Amino acid sequence: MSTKFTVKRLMLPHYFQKIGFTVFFLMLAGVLGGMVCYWCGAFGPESSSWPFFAWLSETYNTLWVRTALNIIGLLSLAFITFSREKVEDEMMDRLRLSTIGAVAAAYLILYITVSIVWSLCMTDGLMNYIAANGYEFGFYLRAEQLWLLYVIIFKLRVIIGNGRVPDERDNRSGEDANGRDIKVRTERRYGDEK
Amino acid sequence: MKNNLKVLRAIHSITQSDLAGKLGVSRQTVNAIETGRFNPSTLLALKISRVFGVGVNDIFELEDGE
Repeated sequence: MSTKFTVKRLMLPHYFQKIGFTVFFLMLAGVLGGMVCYWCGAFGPESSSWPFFAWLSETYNTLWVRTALNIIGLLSLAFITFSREKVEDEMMDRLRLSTIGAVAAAYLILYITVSIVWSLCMTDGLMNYIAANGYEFGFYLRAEQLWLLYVIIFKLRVIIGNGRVPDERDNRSGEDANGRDIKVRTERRYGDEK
Repeated sequence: MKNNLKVLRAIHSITQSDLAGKLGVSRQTVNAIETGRFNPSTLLALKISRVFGVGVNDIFELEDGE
């Protein structure tokens, strides 16, 4: 029995995952750091860094910069998603498939819930606030966020699965199908022959 | 599905890591099979039976109700 086509032939080497995580967290740190500094007034108009921050903010708000950052973010997620785990086997394949199913189910539940809440709770004032702040219906259900959710769920399941594996001990005993202990004599005495 | 993989490993003095290496899977997969959290594919079940030199039916057994 041979399978000429396997998923792992299409996947990137494992080190691409580290590259993806590094880029992603650097971007996240940059965005969060900028937001925190802005809120703290570190780059306020009174500070000496204001000209630099003003330039940075102006540059960030240009279309090509935001597009480039989006593409880099998506690339980092792609590197994480499409790179091999340390050991690629059928359990990883099934884990990926079940995670896609879980994300699809979560998306459906969230979409239905938000649709209902949006319809029931929407007022003119709220709608104007949302429009003024650039949010639209389902902004948090974009493909990028679903992709990120997939990565988070998949990696968590891999980590939790690895955590369930106990330390390898020299397990010389076991249980039979009825749950009774079977002690297997494994120590070799002088003169024993296999 | 029940299995006596742990017993067979004990009889043959094979660790989970060794068995995983022979099968080309992770130790997590071997552990998951032993604890019943994961059912192997036909290919993997045949590889396991080849490692231990016994039939697949001697390793895996359907539970009542399956």
